[in-house]
Amino acid sequence: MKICLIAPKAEGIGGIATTIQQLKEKLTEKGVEVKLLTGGYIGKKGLMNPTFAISAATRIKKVKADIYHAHGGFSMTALIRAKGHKIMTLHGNWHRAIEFLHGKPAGKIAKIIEDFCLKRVDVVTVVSKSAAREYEKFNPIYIPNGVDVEEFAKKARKPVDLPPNTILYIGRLSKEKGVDILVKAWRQVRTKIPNANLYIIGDGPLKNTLEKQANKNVKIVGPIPHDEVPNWLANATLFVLPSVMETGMPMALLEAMAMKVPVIATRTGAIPEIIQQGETGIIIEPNSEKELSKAIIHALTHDMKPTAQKAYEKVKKEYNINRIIDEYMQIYTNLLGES
Amino acid sequence: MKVIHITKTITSPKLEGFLGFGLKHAHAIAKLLGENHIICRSKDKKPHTIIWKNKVYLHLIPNLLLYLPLTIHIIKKHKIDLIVAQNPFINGIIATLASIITKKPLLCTVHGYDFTINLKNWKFKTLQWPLRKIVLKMARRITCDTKAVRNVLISWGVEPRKIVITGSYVDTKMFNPKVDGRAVREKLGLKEDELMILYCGRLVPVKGVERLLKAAKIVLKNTKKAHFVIVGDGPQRERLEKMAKELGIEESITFVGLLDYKEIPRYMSAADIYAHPAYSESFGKACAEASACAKPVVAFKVGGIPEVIIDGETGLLVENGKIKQYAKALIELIKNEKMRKTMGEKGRKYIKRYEFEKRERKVAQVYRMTARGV
Repeated sequence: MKICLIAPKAEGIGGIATTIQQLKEKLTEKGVEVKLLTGGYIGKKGLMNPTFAISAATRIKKVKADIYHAHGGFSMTALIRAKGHKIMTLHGNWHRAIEFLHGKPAGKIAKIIEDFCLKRVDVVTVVSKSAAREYEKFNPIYIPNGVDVEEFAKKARKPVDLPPNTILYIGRLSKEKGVDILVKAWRQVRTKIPNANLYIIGDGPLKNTLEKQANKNVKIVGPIPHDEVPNWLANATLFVLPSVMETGMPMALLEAMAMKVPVIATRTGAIPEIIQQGETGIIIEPNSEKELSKAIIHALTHDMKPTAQKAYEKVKKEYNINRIIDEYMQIYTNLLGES
Repeated sequence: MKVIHITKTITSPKLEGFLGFGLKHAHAIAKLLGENHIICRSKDKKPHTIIWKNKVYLHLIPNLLLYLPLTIHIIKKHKIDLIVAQNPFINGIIATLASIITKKPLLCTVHGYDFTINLKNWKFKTLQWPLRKIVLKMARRITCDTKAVRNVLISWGVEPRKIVITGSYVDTKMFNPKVDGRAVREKLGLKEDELMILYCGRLVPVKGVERLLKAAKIVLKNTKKAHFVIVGDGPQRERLEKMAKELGIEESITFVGLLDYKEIPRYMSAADIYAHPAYSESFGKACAEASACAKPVVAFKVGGIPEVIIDGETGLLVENGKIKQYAKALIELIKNEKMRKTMGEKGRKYIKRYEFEKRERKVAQVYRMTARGV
């Protein structure tokens, strides 16, 4: 079995990159030949980065494989030019993401392209139940993103020494992730809990603005390789994901839960499927400084261990990488008709 | 997505016993896909529909002649995306015709009893075979329980590409080693040091229970500590009881008769060894259930059993027909308590791969792919 994975990027943090790395590693273990077709990451998102869509579409003909498995909207153009079985994995709602970044007309064009492409692939898979409902007419198969729960905790060999009451943000530094709101909310947290610290990890267009806004006790760490993530999570008190618009399944959130770090996130995209209020974490409305600071203060002043434990169990059961790889494997074997 | 299942024997929704697990499956599929319609026979006079929560629709149809027109009507009315035939014969033919008329994709499920049919039987060959072949040809995909069934289907000339192994399922919550079996042992009047060897299933020729009785005779010559318990009913019961008397082992054998499905886990828990003497089996659900209760299984190497029970690991498997060896395997387990325990534990671990949710997700995945035309 030869499988070609198509994705804009295969390294670093983020749902697509992590899934590609996991698929490559685990499928190779199972004796599947994996080829990658990826582009370089240039730090820009959406239509500002058209190079991958074009270059992949021209390179695809040279890659020989039985199954072509594309991740993310920008791999679509390459996928429909491929000859073989085609699987499209949508990490979130692509046309809505484009609409959010570039306005309504762009979103409409994206939807037309998307409809055209999705009709021409064999299997569509989505990473969240909400996306499964939105793409119902394409009969999508729901396969969430996963974490290698046991392995991930073992990777924290050199935990970073963090001061007590440390709040961590890991992700792209851009508007849709709501980091600017977090930095604004931080002032209110600091007045109540003076020894609290905020560490912001990641790279993106907002980096310079954030550095200017940030005051004492806010540290902008910058980008780190994915292998370092467990080291940072190991000693964190709290993980915050203040997304304004999340279309896929936030990988960093699952990873924090797998490391038994209590989490605060917003009611957007697939997050309500992962976090039940008070059960597996704290969930708040997006775009609200007030609610965010209140939630952070609440989490820092209460015992969050039971919630973190429940969150860990949920990730282990529902977002376990072995289960997810099995399901992708089943699609592959069903397409090829092997037993 | 909306799917329609065409099946025959759900006679009335009041019969929970028969429906029990089938209903669980129906609800799980509806939850995963959106809407699940089931068409089945009933004894009521008029066709009618029962709607449950989770969007499960049960369409009860009294007359086989009404099956096709009503199926087509329902497919059009509810805008169904996929037709599933629950066996490749009568239901299959109706589903195939409905599929041709409404131009919706067809998926066919092949069960154990389809698999046990004999190709040499002239009745089967002339009447059923051509019809089955048409259904299997028309179906876009065929799902079955084990590799053994897949191989049989391939030998029947089905394209291997079309076949998907979904596996059967075992309720590992209902069947678990923590179920208390002491009450059952008391009821059967078993002594502390007596070992209970259990068989559960229909008493029909294909299950080969007479082979178990023959093996029991050899076992009882060796040790008096064993007691055989046969759960289930069927046309062979009288013959088997007579045979037990002729063999002179009637004191060490109890025929319990038909039991409620809820009672079975208690009997499985009470037992020390599970013995399955079938001639043919597509999956061997009873063996899997015994494994789920952490009991070692002794069976013949037939059909899908080697996929469910690993020889030497979770049970002992014997070449088909070798009754002496079968008895030997039983004696080996009776004498070795440690082996019984480790095999049981390994079995429980192994059988978790046949978990209900996992299998339902697999089935839903295949349904979605078939509906997309893949």
